[in-house]
Formats: sequence, C-alpha cells, structure tokens
Amino acid sequence: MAKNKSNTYENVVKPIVVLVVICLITSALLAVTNYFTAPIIAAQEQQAAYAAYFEVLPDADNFTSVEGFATSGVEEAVKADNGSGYAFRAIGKGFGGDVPVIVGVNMDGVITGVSFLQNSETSGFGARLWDGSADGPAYAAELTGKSGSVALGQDGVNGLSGATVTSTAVVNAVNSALSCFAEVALGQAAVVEQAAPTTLEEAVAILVGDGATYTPVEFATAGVQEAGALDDGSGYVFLAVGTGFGGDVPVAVVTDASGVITGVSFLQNSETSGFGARLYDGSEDGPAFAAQLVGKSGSVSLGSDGVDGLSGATISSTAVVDAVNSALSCYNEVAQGGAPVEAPAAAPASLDEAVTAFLGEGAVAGEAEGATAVYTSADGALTLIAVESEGYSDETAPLTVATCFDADGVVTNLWVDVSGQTQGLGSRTGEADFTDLFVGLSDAAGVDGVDAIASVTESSDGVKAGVAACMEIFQTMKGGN
Amino acid sequence: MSNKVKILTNGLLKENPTLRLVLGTCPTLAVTTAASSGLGMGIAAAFVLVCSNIAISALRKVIPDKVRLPAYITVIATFVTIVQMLVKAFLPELDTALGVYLPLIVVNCIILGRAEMFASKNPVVDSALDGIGMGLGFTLTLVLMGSFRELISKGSIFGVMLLPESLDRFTLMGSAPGGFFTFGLFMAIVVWIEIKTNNRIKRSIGCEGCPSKGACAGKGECE
Repeated sequence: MAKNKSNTYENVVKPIVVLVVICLITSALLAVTNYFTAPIIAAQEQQAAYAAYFEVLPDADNFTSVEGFATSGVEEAVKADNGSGYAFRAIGKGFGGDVPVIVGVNMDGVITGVSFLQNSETSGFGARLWDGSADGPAYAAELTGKSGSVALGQDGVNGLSGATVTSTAVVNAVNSALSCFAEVALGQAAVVEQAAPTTLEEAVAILVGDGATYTPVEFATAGVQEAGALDDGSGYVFLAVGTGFGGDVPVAVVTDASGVITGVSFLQNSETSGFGARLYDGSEDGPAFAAQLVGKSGSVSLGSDGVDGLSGATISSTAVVDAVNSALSCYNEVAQGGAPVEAPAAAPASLDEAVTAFLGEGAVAGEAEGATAVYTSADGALTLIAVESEGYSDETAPLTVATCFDADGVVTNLWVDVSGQTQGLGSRTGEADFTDLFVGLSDAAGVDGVDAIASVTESSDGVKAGVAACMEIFQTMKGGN
Repeated sequence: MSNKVKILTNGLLKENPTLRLVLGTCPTLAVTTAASSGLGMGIAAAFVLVCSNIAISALRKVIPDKVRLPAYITVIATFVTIVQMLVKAFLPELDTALGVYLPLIVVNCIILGRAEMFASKNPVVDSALDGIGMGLGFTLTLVLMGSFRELISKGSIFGVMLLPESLDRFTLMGSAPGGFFTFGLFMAIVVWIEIKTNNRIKRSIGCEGCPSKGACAGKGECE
C-alpha cells in the first residue's frame, strides 16, 4: 500500500505540483517585467506614431491626440504636451487622389514645419513632394512661418513648378490645418465643407434646407433629367445636364414660384480636375458661379448679366449655362404651361444626309469645276455646292463645306463636316449657332462680315472661305447657264 | 578548471550549435540577411540560453521526468518573453529587424536541446558555462554568416559600405536561397578545419539528443 501511495505521489501529484509552481513563478516574473517595460513600450509606439509630428513641431516633448474637432480636410490633430503647439494631418485633393500633409503650428498660429507624406500624384510632378526631390522640402520651407491662411502665388508660396494641382492641394490642406488650429486652439467655428451632392434630393436638401420635399412632375423639355414641385408650393426644382468636356455636367436648379432662380448646385461631374471639376470639388469658384446664376430668370447666357462662369473652363461653364437654360425652359413648361423645348434636330452627319435634309428626296447630282459635289433639287429651285476647305492645321479630315443656294444665289442652308476638327473647338463651326449666320447671305462681302467663333478662328475662317468658294462656283454655274 | 574551459569553448567550433549540431537552422537562415540582425538574434538567444540553462540545471532534481518537457518549455518561454519585452522597450529597431523570429526563440532547438542534453544532467556553473559557450558559438556563426551575406548582397558589413558602388551587388545572397548557400559553405569550412587540425571526432547525437528518448526510455533500439 505504502508503495502504491508513493507511486501515486511520484506519478501524479508531484508533476502537477511542480509544473504549477513553475508556471506561477514564471508568471510572476513576466508580470514584473511587463510592469516595468509596458509604459516604455507604449511610449515607444506613440513616439513612432507621432514621429511625423515631431518633425514639424520640434519643440514638442510629446503629443496627445485632440478629439472632437469638426474642420473638414483634417484627419488627425495632436496637441503638444508642453504647450508648444499643435500638429495636424490634413488632406488636399490632388491630381491622383488625396495629398496628405503634416503641418505643425505653434501657439501663435505660425506654421513651424510642413512635411509631405507619400501620395499618389504623378511621378515627376506632384510626387516630387515626397520622393526625395529637393522641390518638396523647398515648398515646405516656403510654407513655414506663415499664419492665418496661405495662397499659392502669394507671400513667396510658389509651390511646385508644373504641378499646380498638387500645389493647390497642399495649400488647401495647409489652410484646413490652420482652420483646425483656429477651431481647437482658439475656439473659432469649424470650417465644414459639404461634399458635392450626387442626386437632386441631396442638392435640394442643401439648397432649400433639410426636410424639403418635392413631388416629381411630368415634363418633356430636353436636357432636364428630373423636375419637381416643392411640396410647400414655394417653387420648383430641376436636375438638368449640359454637355461638358468630360461628359454630362449635372446642375441642380431651384426656382421660386415665379421662375426666378433661388439656388444652383453643381453635382459631381467628370470634368477635368482643376478646370470644370472646380464646380463641385470644394473650390470657391463653384459657389461663386452658382451665386452669379441666382436671381436670374427666363434665360441666362455666359458673359452677360454678370454670369462669368469659371475662368479657364469655358466648356464646362457653357454646359452649366445650357443646363440652367434647360431648367428654366422646363420651368416655363411645367409652371406656365409653355411648350416644351425639344432637343434640336441633330445636324446631318454626312454630306448625303445634308443633301436629303436641304434639297429633299430626288436631288440630282451635277458637276462643277472646283466643287467636290453639286446637287440640284428635283424641282431645280435649290442648288447645293460642296467644297473642301481648310480648318485648323491639326484636322484629321478635310473641312467640307456644303452650301445650299436658292435660285437667286442666297444661302438657305449650310452644312459643315466637322468630323476632322477638334472636339469642343473646331467642331463648334458645325453647330447651328454658327452656320445660321450664313443663311440669307449672297455675296462674299456678307460672308466676310460673319464673326468668327472666339478661339476657333482657323476653323471659322475655313468655313467662311468654303462658303465664299461655293458662292463663286454658284455664280460661275449661273453665268455658264 | 581545464574541464570548465573545455565546456566553454565546446560551443565555438567543435560542437558549434548551428554548424555542427545543426540546431536552430530556421532563425539562422532567416535573420542572417545582415550582420547587425544576426548579432541581435545571437545575443538574444544566448541570453535566453544562459538563463534557461541555469534555471533548468538548478531545478533538475525537482522537475519530475514525466513533465520535464513542459517545464523546460515554460521556463524557456518565460525568458524569451522577458527578452522580447526588453527588446521592444529598449531596442525597437532590433525588434523590427528580428520580427517574428524573436518570439520563435521559444522553439529554437538549441535551447531545448542544451536543456535536455546538458543542463538537466550537469551542475549550475557548468550549465551556465555551456550556455555562454553555445550562445557565443551561435552568435559568432550568425554574425559571420550575416556579414558574408550582407557584404555580397549589399556591399556592407554592419551598415558600413565596404565594396565600391561600381561593383554589382549579388542580391540573391540576401534572399532565402543565399541563406542556404552560405549555410552549406560555412558547414563545409568548419568540417575542413576539423579535418585539417586532425580533430575529427565521431559524432552521434545518441539517445540523449533524441526527442523520442522518453518513448523508448533510452534503450537505444533505434540505433
């Protein structure tokens, strides 16, 4: 029995006891070590996390995260424990996404340092901020010492040459940081930017106020995607689109009951960053343009009544004006019972279509020296002469001008093949706005008097030369008859 | 006294843990991309080795045979965790360089192997000397391998640039295959030294080094 007992002790109890004791001792050792090292490790990790902040605020001893700020564009704010200042991680919208910028600000609101984190800007352009190029630190040095707000091109802030969009993103981020400093350190109101709306509902909530509701109404006006009457009877809302450089430019328009624009909001579009995208990307140009449109009624046009649009973004601005005009036409339709403005008939896409459109069915082909094509209508009253003219030097197809004359040599219709011209520039010579200017003319002097489209001079001159050539051929044909 | 010196120097060449006993090859191959991380790993492992050897030797009469492996692992894991905390707290760069291989010292065969082969049968002082010797041997090997690989793959040793920029770097030596090349080369050198010095010893791990010793109770049937 005694031996059995001893075996039980040796085989079961002792191993358990020994192992438990060893575990207890080792656990105690670990607990003691952890007690001493845990705060050091935590400090180390924080140091690593705040390393970027020490770089821009060298006087700081340590940082404490600041919670509860509301300024837009600032991702993180920290306060130096010794009261030497604040540091911020702020974001600006660059060419390739977010441009993160670390900004240190001392208690006087003066920038003590700026550093740039890695971004996705184009290599050789915006990427020079962080890729080791000397331009990044040079730009940071330009910003250091500034306070209040900074602007590109002022006070020695020149940014990166050739990378204006990125430089602007940096300036925006720095300004966000300075605004956030004003908020967290000086107790001023936060600057909160609203993201661009993506739907008419969101736009109405911004323009009219949260809780505003509207009832969709039937309409037929072209260019308008949605229309509604505000439920409180105070007016109408429209979502209209114009064609910009990068596709549709959607514009939300709110009018009062009498058709006066009370609010305009630009939805997100695909226009070029730094140009048409300024409508919605938080640039002050978008709201400024919207303010120009408020108070207008009937119709608007670029360059009159204080509607100046975005400088450098004429096509996007024109798209906005077109959209607003569509919305105003739609107001006329749904509120005043006016006739809907249908989309204009598409311009003929080819010479054959132009012949059919201008001369009717059964036109007879003829020949004339200098003309690429001559057609006479079935009744002989109308003659269409097509010539090749020269437009802009980069054209990919000849600028064919087809002029339609009545029996007296007066221009009745004009068609221009703009397929080889630059989209948005030379292509505008084929639009009715321009071609209608020639209708009713009968001599070269009249053609000379037609104003060329601004900044489309070469294509415009090409069309004018083509029409003049057609007139000469027509006169020759007449004389020959 | 000469016995004590012999114990101490055993680990440097004759029973070099990595090159002759072929223990702890995983961290050897993994961290020897640079001399400095090799040194850090070697010192960390040596520290754990000395401490665990002392502790296990002191406890060798208390720990029942049945639970000796769990007891050893617990002791070793404790020291490894302490080292890990210290490194994290005071040498954060080394912590980044060693990464996951630092906590993996727990399962480094050198440490468990020496606990099983030496510390569990020898007095405390001898065990401590064995730990120091083995630790030095391990550290020396890692530093030499790390220097060799760093020199060839990056042209520097301990971050000091030695080769001119004009020489192309053989970066393969810095990756896993280079670790095997270096390992084989160093093993061959050690064997060559042994033959040259006529110091060849018949080596057999025997029952003591066999992890399955407990299962067959050291009857030697598998030999």
